[in-house]
Amino acid sequence: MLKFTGRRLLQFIPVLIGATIICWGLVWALPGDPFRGRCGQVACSAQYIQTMTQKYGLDKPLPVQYMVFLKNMFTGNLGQTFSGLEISDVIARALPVTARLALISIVMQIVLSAAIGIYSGLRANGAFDVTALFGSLILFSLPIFVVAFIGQYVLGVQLGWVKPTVSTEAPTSELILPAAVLAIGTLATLMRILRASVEEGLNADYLRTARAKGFKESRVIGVHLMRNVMAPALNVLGLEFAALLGGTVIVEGIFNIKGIGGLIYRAIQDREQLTVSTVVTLVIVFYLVINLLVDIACAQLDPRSRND
Amino acid sequence: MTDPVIVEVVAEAEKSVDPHGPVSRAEAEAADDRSHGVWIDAWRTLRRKPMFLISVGVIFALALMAVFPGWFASGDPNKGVLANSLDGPSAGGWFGFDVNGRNVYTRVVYGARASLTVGFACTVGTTLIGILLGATAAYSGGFIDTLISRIADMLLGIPFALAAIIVLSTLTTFQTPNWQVEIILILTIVIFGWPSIARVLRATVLTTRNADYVVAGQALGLSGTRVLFRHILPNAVSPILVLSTMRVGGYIATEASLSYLGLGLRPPAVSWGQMVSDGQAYLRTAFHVLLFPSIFLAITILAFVLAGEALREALNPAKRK
Amino acid sequence: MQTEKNTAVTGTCAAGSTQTVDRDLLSVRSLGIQIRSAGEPIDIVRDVSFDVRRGETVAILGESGSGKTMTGHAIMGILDTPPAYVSAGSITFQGRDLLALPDRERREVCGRNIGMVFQDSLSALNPVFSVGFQIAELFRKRLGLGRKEANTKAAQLLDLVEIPNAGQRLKDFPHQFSGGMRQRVMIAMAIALEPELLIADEPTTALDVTIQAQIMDMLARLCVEREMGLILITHDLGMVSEFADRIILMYAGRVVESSPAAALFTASAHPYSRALLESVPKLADQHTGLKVIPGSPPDPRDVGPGCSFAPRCSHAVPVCLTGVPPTLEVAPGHLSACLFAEEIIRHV
Repeated sequence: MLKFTGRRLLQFIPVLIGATIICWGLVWALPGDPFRGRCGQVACSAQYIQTMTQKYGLDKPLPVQYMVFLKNMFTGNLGQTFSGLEISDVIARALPVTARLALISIVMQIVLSAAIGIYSGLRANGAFDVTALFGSLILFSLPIFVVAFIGQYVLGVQLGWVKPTVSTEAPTSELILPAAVLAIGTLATLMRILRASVEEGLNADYLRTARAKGFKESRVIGVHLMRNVMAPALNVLGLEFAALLGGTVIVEGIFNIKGIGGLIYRAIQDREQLTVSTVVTLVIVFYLVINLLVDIACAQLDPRSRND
Repeated sequence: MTDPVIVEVVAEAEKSVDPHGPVSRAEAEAADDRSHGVWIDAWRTLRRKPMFLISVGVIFALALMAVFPGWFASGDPNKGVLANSLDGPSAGGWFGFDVNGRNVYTRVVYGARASLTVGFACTVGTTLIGILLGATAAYSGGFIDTLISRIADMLLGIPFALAAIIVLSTLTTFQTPNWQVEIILILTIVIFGWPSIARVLRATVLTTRNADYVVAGQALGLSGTRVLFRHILPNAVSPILVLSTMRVGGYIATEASLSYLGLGLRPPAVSWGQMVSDGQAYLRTAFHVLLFPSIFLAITILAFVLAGEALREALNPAKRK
Repeated sequence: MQTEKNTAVTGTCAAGSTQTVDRDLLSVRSLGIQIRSAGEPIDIVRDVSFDVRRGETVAILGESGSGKTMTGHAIMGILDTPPAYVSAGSITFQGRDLLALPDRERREVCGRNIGMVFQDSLSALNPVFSVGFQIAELFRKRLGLGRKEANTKAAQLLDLVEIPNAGQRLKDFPHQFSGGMRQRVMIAMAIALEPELLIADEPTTALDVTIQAQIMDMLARLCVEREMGLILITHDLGMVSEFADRIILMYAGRVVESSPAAALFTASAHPYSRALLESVPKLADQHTGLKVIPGSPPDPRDVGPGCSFAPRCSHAVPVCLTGVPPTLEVAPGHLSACLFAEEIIRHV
């Protein structure tokens, strides 16, 4: 297990460096002028571009620029937005809301997909299973902003159960609808993998062995089957984080939540390149770390994936 | 915008190739013919599946709509009569009118082109590059395999939607012409989308190459190209086909989401995502402006997902009864 | 259905003596198993009867598909229900009718009174739990022992089944063991709660011949030491001749011959057993080629009303195809379901 973790960490470092280089490079190293379009419909003055180029160090060679970027990331000195705010402050203000939103959403996702997925797996090809399977495909086909608007319109405008947009303090009760919208986008995949693993596991010989050991059905299913189902489900949950993070940009935009996604959304609209690249890089690092932890957890849950 | 089915599809691809069991000459020859058998069987199954037939019908109708929008709607999608602004559905405009008094039905019809172009181009691009790089990795092994696999890891490590957001917000401005935006959009999706296809292909080739019937084929003196084209590739084609079909919907959703964020196509081009974005201001007063493009978007994506699902069931011998 | 005829199956040793009553472990009478899929139920096992005593090894011999594994599962109470279920007969264990027991008491019997060794140890052991956990689990959940004590007992068991470094190997997972070692783990698990009866379903099929012998010797030793009854489900004639006391020969879901082990080889009384013995290659006739039984076993869906072996049988007469032949006792404790049993046994 230690060996596996070490090896996995060694693989993680180049991927992390590569991903941050790609992300940073997309913003700063591509041909084209990052300050283009910052002056509305007219071209920016040469002097403005020169000032900005110096301020953001774009006159230095690319490797130096990247090292500076890395150094700044590590020291927490993230620089300023074009409008002069400290990016670290902006992030610190946005993070707690998004953390709460994501947490609520993941809990919803896990509870719903586990309940539906496991039940349909246990009763595979029954009426409930077929309905759930078809329903999951429909949910999977709805782009997240469509779900968001339908939710906003039906629950917020028509029925008036929730406020259509979230207020500045973002109390948890108001985050439930946006979290549900986020969960729906990623629910289907998790549900289907759970259903598939439960259905497959039910035919496994080791369940017969567990029954032959005289255990109650609750232990046979709840311990012997479930432990086998957990690793693939956790793996999918880790990958689904990508969709969740992409989704927050749209959901926080629609519900006017002042979180990380909303921050990216507004930064795109204001063409705040540095803010976009910094925040997105941090989000990617977070995503990679989550998936590293998921891999290690999966190896703990299913020893066969350690191959040592 | 997700990468949903890849885990399941890879798992099935690995399972569908059974590398065990003794092999006789007869079986090796039978395996030689099974590339036909699988497709014929699959077609027989699919022909009787209403879900598949309906989705293919919907896809065909949408394709016609994209190529010949004039057949489905008369008038200019960008010309509006302000007097009709935000009017609800009526005989004169089945889906109502938007804030500029433009006919929503006409605009929805014209919007099919943007979605299908992006969906089609991205699928072809990711599939071709994915197959090429995946096969190269599996066959070369060693350094090249490691290099391709690590690059794939890095690209997969960046959430798809965020990558597209960064690229488009860097490379395009309000002045960028639409055709450039479209090309940049497609290239971005292709660059960040090929790794999952390549992974599936690499996994299938590696498992298939050691399958007994392939080894037997080689031992019996079948030529290398015959083994490759008759044994190895057919095994890789079905998971790729399933994955690609399902992902068309994902690409269309990505395009719509980016257009919705204001990073995709802009007027005068018509796209569903952009229509939804325009309509969100009138959520309370004129929900139809937002509703109809959303429905079309959802139906389009659903058609591809259902077609992919039906293909998967038909091509997966374990699930057939 | 004639059920009376099955009552008097007697064993090798001391038939009728008072001692045998106490030594009786298991008695299966007219057991029938069906599978109900979409349409009509299909008979998989019909009218199977036999007894097992303490310390006795009874082999259920048959080709794959003859219903022997299903019979084992039915005794254990782990048939895959649905689609398979017991449709007729009774299974009596130490005086209790297992089929009439409520679920809870039935489960109590599993493991504690009857243990089972499965065929493919790699898939029969749970891949995500260490073998130590899987053995200790029995002590913890069934006997209520603490974790530490359960682990100590698990280590002792691995020692008993001759796994080297038992203490350290507790932490290992099934895929880290070799096939033979893994089958030993299976056996350790089956005998953990000291059952009176062990069912071993093809315990050595997946193993090398040398390992097979080790495993079988160990099983035999354990049975003697603990006075366990053993039901050995197998298709291996050689193993049967070496280890079994009695042989129940099954064909297409029915018992065709039931005899003391030696009698099957020296005085078999059914055309199927004759044919089976003749199909074993012998060194002496290496030039005559392999003798095979013409035809193949019937599909359980279209077994006729008569003797299932009749279509392949060289002795068959028309009446064989219309009614199930009665079971005849050709010698004490030797039953054959063939009209011509007497004739065949005389014709050695």
